Amino acid sequence: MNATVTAPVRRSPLAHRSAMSAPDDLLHLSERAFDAKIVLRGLPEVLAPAIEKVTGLAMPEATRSTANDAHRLLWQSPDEFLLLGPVDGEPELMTALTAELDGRHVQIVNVTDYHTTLVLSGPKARETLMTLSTLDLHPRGFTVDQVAGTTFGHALGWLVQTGDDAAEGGPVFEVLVRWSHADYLFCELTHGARAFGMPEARPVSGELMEI
Amino acid sequence: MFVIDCPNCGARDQSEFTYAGEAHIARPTDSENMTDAEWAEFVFMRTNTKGLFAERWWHATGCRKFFNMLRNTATDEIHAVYRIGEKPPKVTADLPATPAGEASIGSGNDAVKIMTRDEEAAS
Repeated sequence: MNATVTAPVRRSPLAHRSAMSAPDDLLHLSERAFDAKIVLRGLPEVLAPAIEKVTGLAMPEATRSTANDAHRLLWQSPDEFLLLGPVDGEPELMTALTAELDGRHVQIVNVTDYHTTLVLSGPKARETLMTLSTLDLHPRGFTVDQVAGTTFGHALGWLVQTGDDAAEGGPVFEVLVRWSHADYLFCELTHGARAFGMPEARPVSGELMEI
Repeated sequence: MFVIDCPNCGARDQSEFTYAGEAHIARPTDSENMTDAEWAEFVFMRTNTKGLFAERWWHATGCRKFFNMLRNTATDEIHAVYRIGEKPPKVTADLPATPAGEASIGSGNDAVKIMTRDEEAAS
């Protein structure tokens, strides 16, 4: 008998949650797990040619990010950048970047399964984030492509605005949060949006505790 | 709570930062020949200034870099923020006058006040 080996299937940290929305399209909250995520540390002038060649992206200025259709490059620190790519794209990116930066004084780490991405969009997205963060999130203070590492409640996260306020459906924010903090942050964001009619987060599977 | 102007990230809330002690304390170069007392001086003894004080802060949730700050410890006013390795800028700061006229150095406790010889003789 031929034994069939099944490859392990990744399970997202919010597999037990479904995407949630407030009425009238005021707010949409969902998870996008498994994006390729690679931390690059090193001097920007050393990293720049390799990143340009592999992804076509220019280096972002401080507290900004650059993006094209497939990738986004986030500034995290003067010598630290986070590269986001398509799902299952991390092996190719790692191979290409490692080859390009061979022998240089840099660090390239695959953190794909370290963070997950919460996507928050809609006209009330800013106000929902304001309930959890001390950042200046006024449209003048936080603009499209801007990046900030901060705390949301008790969870550390990186916030990046990917969609413009003027676009239809309101601004789009992505929060990169640690795997183990994702459930907490998801529930806190739905709780913070209760004023806009967001229902309380309920698990769609697993043990459901009725009070 | 106050807002701190991180040299890398810009103005952020104090809750994102961690205090990292007095700045500009040079590591001893002749460490092999130091006495225990000299080690204790380097490791533990700090000036505990009331007034303008150079200190290190760490932007724990943002860029995760250390930087220096000149802060008036009596009023919490931040006079300057500058990077590690830079010289502190020249600033002046006034201590707030207290109704009791307590000493500008140390606490209001008479036992630890710095007194001049004339004051000591008079008391």
